[in-house]
Order: sequence, then structure tokens, then C-alpha cells
Amino acid sequence: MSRAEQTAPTPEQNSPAIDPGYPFAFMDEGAKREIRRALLKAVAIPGYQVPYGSREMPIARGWGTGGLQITLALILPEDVLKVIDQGCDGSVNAVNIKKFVAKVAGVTVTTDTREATLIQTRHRIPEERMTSNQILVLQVPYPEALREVEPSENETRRMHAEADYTRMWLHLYEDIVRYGEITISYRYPVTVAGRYITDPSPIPRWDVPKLHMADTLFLFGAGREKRIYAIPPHTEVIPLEFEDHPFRTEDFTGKRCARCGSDHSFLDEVIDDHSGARRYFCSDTGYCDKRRAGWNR
Amino acid sequence: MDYATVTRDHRTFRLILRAMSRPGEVQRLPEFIGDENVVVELLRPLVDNATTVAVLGDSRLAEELALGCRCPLAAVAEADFVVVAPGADTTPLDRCKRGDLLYPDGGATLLYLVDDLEQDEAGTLLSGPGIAGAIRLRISGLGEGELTRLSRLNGEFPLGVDAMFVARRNSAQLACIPRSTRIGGP
Amino acid sequence: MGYVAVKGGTEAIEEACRLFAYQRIKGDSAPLEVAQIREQLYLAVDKAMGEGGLYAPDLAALALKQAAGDSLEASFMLRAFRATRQRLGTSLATDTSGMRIIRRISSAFKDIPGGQMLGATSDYTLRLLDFSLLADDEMRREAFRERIFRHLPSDLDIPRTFPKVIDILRREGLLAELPPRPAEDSPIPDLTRQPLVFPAPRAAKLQALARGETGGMLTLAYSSMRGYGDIHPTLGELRVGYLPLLIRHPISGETCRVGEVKVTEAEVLARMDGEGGMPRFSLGYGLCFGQNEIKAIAMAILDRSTRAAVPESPAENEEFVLYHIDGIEAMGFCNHWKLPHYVDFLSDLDRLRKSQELARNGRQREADHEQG
Repeated sequence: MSRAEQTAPTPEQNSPAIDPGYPFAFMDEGAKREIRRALLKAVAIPGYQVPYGSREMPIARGWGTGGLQITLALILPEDVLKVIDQGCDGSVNAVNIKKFVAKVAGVTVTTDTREATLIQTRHRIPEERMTSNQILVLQVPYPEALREVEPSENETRRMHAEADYTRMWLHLYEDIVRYGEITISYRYPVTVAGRYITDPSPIPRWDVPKLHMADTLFLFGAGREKRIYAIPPHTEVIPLEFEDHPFRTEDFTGKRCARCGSDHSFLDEVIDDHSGARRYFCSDTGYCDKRRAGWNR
Repeated sequence: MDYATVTRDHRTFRLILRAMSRPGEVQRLPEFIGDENVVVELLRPLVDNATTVAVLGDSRLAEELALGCRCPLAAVAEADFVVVAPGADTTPLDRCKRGDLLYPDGGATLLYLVDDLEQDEAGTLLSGPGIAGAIRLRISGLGEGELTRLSRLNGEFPLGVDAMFVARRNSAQLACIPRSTRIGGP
Repeated sequence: MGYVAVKGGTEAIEEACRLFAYQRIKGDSAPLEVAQIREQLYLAVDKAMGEGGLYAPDLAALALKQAAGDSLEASFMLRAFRATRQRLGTSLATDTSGMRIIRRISSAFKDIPGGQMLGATSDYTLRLLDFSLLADDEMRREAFRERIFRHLPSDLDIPRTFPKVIDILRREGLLAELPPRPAEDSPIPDLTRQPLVFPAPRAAKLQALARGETGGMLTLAYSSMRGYGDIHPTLGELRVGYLPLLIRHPISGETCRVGEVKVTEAEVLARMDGEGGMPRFSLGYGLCFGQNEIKAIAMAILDRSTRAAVPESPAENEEFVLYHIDGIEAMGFCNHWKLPHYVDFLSDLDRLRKSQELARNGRQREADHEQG
């Protein structure tokens, strides 16, 4: 491939040119095709984990290789990319992934959720409601929601095949008997489209309702475990709950962000260096920045 | 593959992904997908020597695909992708792969070549994941009873097939009916 | 202000990378040449190639240099590099009896056809630090070479190939029959492109083991031979040597030899199977890139142990073994715990506080009840 051919068709302002040492989007076409086929099956069978080959990426297994492979298989030169880790655009890993994708696909990057066409995330869903023209790619460490109750892949696959989820329900029930309520904090299991119990990735419970009947397509990639799954838009996503013990999100009553004053976003708890007092900040730093910038305008 | 072809495949796939995740919604395909090569262009982002393809009703197209996508041809019952040319005898589709309960993703992907795709009141009612409420899709040039066949093939979710429809009238258009979609009235 | 609100991530990362590169060069010693690593640390190179799944001695040596000697990191780099390479073709199956041997031993027989050939090994060395290596100069090396080669006969008649020990047993009907040879062009599952599914086809299982991490495989194989399992292996044959790399010529269709790869092969005989009423030995097979005898033997033991009809120990559970021996996956996941997890942790805190509150309220109610 000549240098001229590698110039992206649309000029980008804040992204470096594509590295001539790599093909567009880094992976070879065979790898991309396999991921794409898996993605289509994942979308067609909502919540079902499609096994795929999962190639090694230049970042370590467990650091978002599953999400990264999905991003690279579908990215367009004209995409505007946002990458977050724990809600934060400036986080170590998010920066690394964003730099890498920008380098191999020549895309523009942003921290603004509204501006992004493609968002890759670890452990959060942005606060601002995403639209039908956006795709959210979630990095997944444990794709198997049933792993807590069954270590064997053979067995969990059988349980999914037969929709035999009694052990999962029993697990939740025992939780209630022991602690008075369901103690699952993040990675809260959900039922997708009335069929598969699915791991929504380690997002906090706060984010789980955002998956239900959304406008956006959610794609989940587990690189180390070699699984891809999806939640299409306008799909029923119901957290596992009992009538007398309903699913509850994290409680931030009476707390607000010390930076932007938000009283309606997921907050990080920070212990003050000096006083030892607890303070709260928006976990979605892009959202927080935007609110602050809004004041100054 | 050169930069232009690689990025074209990315663009095509993005549209296919959109069509598959929003069943019944008609997507306009990019202009580079002309009349002649529509099937090769559509399938190149998805198939290669790791997948098998069957073509019903057009042996020349089968050859073009094998050459253009380097994919081995197979019988319908074994194929990962099945292309259905207009006017083809579609009874072999009853034998196509629907996956098994452990691995339902083994079900085939069908690609029907049709005349026209339109979202209008006269269309078939579709509902399910990816659809806000319900949507109506009119597929002109699809054999009679074909949607009934799809319903039957997809009668035991999660087993089933996922169908793509491509129309070549005016500009190329694409719409999908995955196995999760309910076809027909409530 | 705390960790969360700090935004200088990009800069900090870049400096950390630079500092890492600096650590390697901050001393006064001469820069390590890749050739030095390839030639003088060849066992480390072999290990990285095996675990990285890429036979490329120069690149493996480079990776070791870049990773400052961390073998997991080095094999990881090789794998990542491999993932970007286009596959030009598939090599033909090679019969290992045609191996150009540099070492072969059998512990099953005192003597074997072709003879035991010890080759280069540390097995019989005393593990005493050799302080003379502190002054490893050219003069010393020359003297050593002189000593080795002086008395070497010039008309050594070394056979090109050696018969395989297990063939003797097989001819006598003491070993389980070979499965039918697959057709020449029958596809072999490729683990780098297809995920592992269970029960794994043997070809996929052997591929996973061949790319496995030596230490992890040793641990599991050791558990089996020590007592958690009942594989009491006899080493039928252990070979180190070079295998020709054969491909079919894309145009003429002729078989051509495009090079050779150094491999270690282990054939382990274990516990008799009573299939069909006829007791026999069964074979565990190990083969990996480079000279890595521990890995090849551990692989052969695990190949055999995971064939247990009813798994009774970790090393007999195919899923357990194959899911946990990949060093690249394991190290990545282990390292990922260093990434921030504060959102998850906060969610945990929320649940814990709520549970404690419920527990306290419950206790209070009990106390009230007792008092009342």
C-alpha cells in the first residue's frame, strides 16, 4: 500500500495521521470478518455470548482487548471516538486505547458524549442519553453472568441452552436470606429480551436501567474469554429481582458533585488528603467538564 | 487489500450492523455499491475462506462470489451464508443451518436479492428487539410464502436464521429480519 | 484534590513509558545486541517463541531485550506481532521421525535403536555458580573451543534420522492404536482463529498446550504426577531437533522445504487402558518450539491426564487445564487489577453500607425485643 493511499479521505484536526506501518484499523481483514460475523449473530440473538477467535492485541488481555477488537472491526475514518475508563476520559487505560485507535484508524477523538459516534468504555455508561446514531462498545472481563454460581463453561453453556436459571435465582434468594437484600453491587445480572441472563459488564447498578429500551446499540467484547454479545436498541433489559426485593441503584441521596454541583449523576467518593472528609465528584468527567464549561459561557 | 477497499468494507459493515440491529429499517447502501457487484460488495466485509457460501438460482453469481470473496461454495445445508437470487427455487432453505441450543450462532445468514424495500403501511408488521414498538416493511420481489418460511425456520428461538434483503431498484437498499424478529400481526 | 479529578493522564503515561525504557540503559554496561541474546540466552528465546506461538528467533531476542528480560512480556509482544501478519499458507503435516536430531533420550529402555544421544543439556551439570564466567573473554572461549574440537574424529557417521521408541511398542501391540490418519487436506482447527470449545478436538487441545506457559503447565502436570491424579509417566522418548517446514508450492503444487524449526518432542507412556478388554499403554504427546524440555514433558502429561473419562483432579479436567495455562491471558488479567476500579468499588461500598445498616437495624430490633 502506498503512502498516498493511506491518507484518510477526510482531514482530521486533532488526530495524528495513520501510521504507515499498519493497515487501516490494525487487524488483518480475516480477523475483522470473523468479529463482524460474531457481531451480527450477537445482535440477532440478544444477550447470547458468541464465541470468537480473539486475536492478541498490543495491549494486554484484561485491558480491553475485546472492546478494542470490536471497535477496530467496525470503525470508520470519519468516526468521532470517545474512550472512557470508569467514566473518565483521562484515565490511564482510556488514553492508551484512544491513542492507539486514533493512530491506526486516523479518527477524530472527543471527550463529549454528544459529539461521539463511537464510544468505547470500561465499567460505565455515559450520563447523557445516547442516540440511535451512536454505538457503545463495552469492555468485558467476565462475559458469563452465571460464573458466580458455576465455574465450568460446559455447564453454564448448558444452563443457557436450556434456560435453566434456577441456580442463579437460588443464589439471589440465599443472598436475601443472609443479608436482607441482594448484595450484588456491580455486574448486576440482567435478562435480555426475555431469554438470556446476561452480564452487563462491571457497570454500576446506576447504569443498568440505561440498557433497557435504549436508542443505542450496545456491543460487548470479552477478549480474554473470547466472547462477543450484544444488546440491540429497543430491547427489554430487566435486572434480576424479586417482587419484595426490587433491584435498586446506588443511593446518592443528599450528595452532589463538588466540582459541578450535579445531584443526578453517578458520583465517585474521594477521601480528602488533609481532612479525611469524604467528597464526591461526577464519575463521568466529560459530563462534569461540560457542566462547568456551561457556567462560564 | 488497499486502503480504499478496506475502508469500503468498514462502511458496508457498519450499514449491515445497523440494519441487523434495527430490523425492518431500510438502509440506503453507499453509492460505491453498484448494480453489478452488489452481492460481492455486501459480503466481502463478512466472508472469506473461513466461511462457506451457497447460492440458490444463479450459478454465475456463485462463481463471482467464490472468486471475489475467496469463499468456498457449499450445499445449502452446510453453508454459513446462503444467497437467494430472484426467482430461485427456495425449498432447499428448509434444510439450512439453524444452529443448536448450545451454539445457536451456528445458524446461517440468508441474503435475499429482491426488487424493492419500503417502509410503508402495506408492509408486513415486524416487532421485537431492535424495533421501537412495531415497524412495517414491504419487500417487493420476494417469493410468496418466503416470510412464512422464515417464521417457520425461526419458530424455535434461539435456533434460526438471520435474513438480509437487498434491493437493487434505484439505489441499493438493505433491510434485515434476524431470528429475534416476530413476523406478522400480534 | 484526589486521584479522580486529576486529568494529566496522558502526560503521566508517556513519562512512565519513557522511564521504563530508561531503566534499561541507565547503567554503564555496553548495549545488549539482539544477536547476543539470540545466541547466549537461547533458552529464553526458545521459551518466548513457544509461548508466543511464533517461530522467529531474532524477533524473540528483540522482544526479550525490549521487555528487559521479562519472558511473559516478550512472548506477549511476539503474539501481538503475529496477530497482525497475514497468513500466506499452511504448512504440511510433518512426520517427526524425520527430525534432524540434536538430542534424544528414552527412560523406558536402557538402550534404544540408534542409541541414547545426550546432546546439549544442563541435566548432568552441578548447579554451582561458575565464577570463571565473570571473565568470559575471547581468550577463554577460544581455549574452550580448542578443547572441545581437538579430539573430535573427522569421520563421524551420524545417522540422519532415528527410529522412534514408541514404534517398537506399537509394533508389539503394547500401545493403543493410532487413530486413522486424517486425509491430507482435511482442515485442522486453528486456535488462533477459532475459540476453544469443549470437549476440545485433540488438535485444538495440543495447540493450546503448545502455546501454554511453561510454569503454569509444570504446576498442573506436577500436581498430577505428585498425587492429585494418577499419571505415572514413563518418558518413552524425548527429542530435541530440527523439523523441516514443508509447504505445497502455490503454483506447481510440489512439496517444498522452506526452512526448519527447532522443536522439543516428548512422548510419555502412561497407565494402561482396558479398552476392548486388552490392556495397553496410552501415549501422551508434547511438542513445542525450541528447546524446552520441561514444557514438552508437562504437555505430554497434560495431554494424557485430560483424557480421563471422569475428571477427578484439576489436571484431569480439560476445561480447567486449557483455560488456565495461557500465560499471556493470565498475565494480562492479573495485571488488569492495577487498573482503577473505583466505580465498582463504590458500588461495593454502597451495598456493604446498606447491608451493615440492615444488620444493625436487625440487631437493634432484637435488642429492643429482648428489653421489651
